[in-house]
Amino acid sequence: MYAVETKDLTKHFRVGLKRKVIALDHLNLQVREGEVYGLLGPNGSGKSTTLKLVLGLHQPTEGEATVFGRSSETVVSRLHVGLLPENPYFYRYLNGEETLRFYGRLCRVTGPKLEEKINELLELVGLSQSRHRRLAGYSKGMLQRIGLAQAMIHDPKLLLLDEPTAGVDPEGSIDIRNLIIKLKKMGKTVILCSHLLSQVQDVCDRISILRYGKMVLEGNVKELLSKKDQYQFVGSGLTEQDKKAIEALIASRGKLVSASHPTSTLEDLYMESVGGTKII
Amino acid sequence: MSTPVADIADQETLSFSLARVWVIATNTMTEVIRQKVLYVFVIFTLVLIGASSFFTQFSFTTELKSIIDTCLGAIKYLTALIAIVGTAMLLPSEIENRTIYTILTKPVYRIEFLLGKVVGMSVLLLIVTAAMSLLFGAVLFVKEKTLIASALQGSVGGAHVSDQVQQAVAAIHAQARNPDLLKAIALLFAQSVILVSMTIMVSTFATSSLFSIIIMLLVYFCAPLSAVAHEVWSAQGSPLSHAGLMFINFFIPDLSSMTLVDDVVVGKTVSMAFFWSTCGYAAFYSLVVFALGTLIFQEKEL
Repeated sequence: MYAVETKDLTKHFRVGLKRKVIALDHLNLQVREGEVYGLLGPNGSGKSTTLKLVLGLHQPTEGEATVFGRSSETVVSRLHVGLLPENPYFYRYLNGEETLRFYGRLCRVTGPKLEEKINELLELVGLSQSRHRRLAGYSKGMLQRIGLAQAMIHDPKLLLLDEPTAGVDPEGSIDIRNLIIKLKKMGKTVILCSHLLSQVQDVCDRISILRYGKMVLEGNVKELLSKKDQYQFVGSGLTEQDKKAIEALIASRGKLVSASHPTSTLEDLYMESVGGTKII
Repeated sequence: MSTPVADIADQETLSFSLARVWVIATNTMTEVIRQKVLYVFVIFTLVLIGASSFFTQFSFTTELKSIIDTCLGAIKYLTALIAIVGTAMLLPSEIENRTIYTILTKPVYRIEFLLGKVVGMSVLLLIVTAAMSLLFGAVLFVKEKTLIASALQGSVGGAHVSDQVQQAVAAIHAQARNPDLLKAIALLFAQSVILVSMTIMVSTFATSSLFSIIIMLLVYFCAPLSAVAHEVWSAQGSPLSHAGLMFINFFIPDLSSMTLVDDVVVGKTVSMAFFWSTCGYAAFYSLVVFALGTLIFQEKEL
């Protein structure tokens, strides 16, 4: 059984009296349990529509979506689902702790179990110190974190994260990435919609790319990105003579594509400078 | 992340839950209170202070009558205003802030969400009406004591004067402790519940809070027409007029029976049979418009 499966999922929107827009066109998707799946595509490609259909916020024009085998149009399919919407706002008059208590009680998590869960999640997303502060005073990054915590309050098996790092600083972005990796280790299934391709590359097992409501590419990230006809060595302690000898050897047997010093990422450099979280 | 919430995850079915409705209702109350709704108390207190000091130059019966008239009128319009404006803001703000996504993507039925909003607003209005009534009652109590004291002060004299005073005191008691005042206030609350249910129904298809408020203010101020139309068209007896009557009666509730301010002020008695039948009408009408709102909201794409 798949965590999420769509069969010919199609969604049309009516614009005016006669015109219709095809937001999603016969999408067939299978997300396996325990994997981190990236849903990519330009704005208006159908990513958010797919999420809304999977969550039962929209009704399909054709086809169907199931969550752990249950039709997404049933409320019972949401027992195992947590959502972090894009740019979440929440109730500004509640503080962090009250927000989690509200969502927990909605999911029938109550009593000491709820309090334990609140403490645990606030710790996990790094908001223990701000638990009594009203959300009106939270930064964008903090709102994303509390959003993640509320999505996990009922311990769902599937998490849908829509642009979880939008507007978040690099440090916060890395924290969220590390959290996704942690969730994967815990056996959760994660569907990630993001424009931050480097992050998707780092955390996702498989991806699909949508364009004009159609899937144009799907597969394992490593397989899709690897250049099978090329090979890369990284060495150290070599003299100029050694390098020339190696280059000559490669040139005699095949084609030398490039030879240069490997570079660090800007992200690594930034984190080193600000002394933030280590990248997993 | 070690705490398992197994009882949630292992569930295979999900039944309607009043507990979830109450969670949404309490949050709705907090939300409306944050919208500065409680400023109505300031307005009401000002009305009370004004009423209790402005009418002092009249005779004691006119003074009490005027205070009752002004205060019941204030309760009537302030609760209607909260019911319409407060409720009209609820759904659009949930959609605009995307909080609706975080709620409806949890195991929550749409009917529970909508019912939570109606219950929250109704409970808040119950508290607001009760609090205003207590203030009103306190002013009446003080006024009653003051008027009786001043009546007794003027009675130092013979037995003839004392009879007059006794009659005056009895009249003051009858006005200030009229049990029909409570019935009138209870029916004003019933009117609020109808307005809340109807506003939530309108906001399920409205494009903005302003649209809902305008529609509901039109309905509220056209409501007296419902009773007039009833009288005129039911006398005609043609099928067309009956159809028109049904249409008007459905979309414009008959609120006239719920606003007995004038009747109570002039001392008309409100029978228990009338009181309960009006409450029944309010409950039935609210239920029907809420059901219609739920049907629309069920199909709404968010």
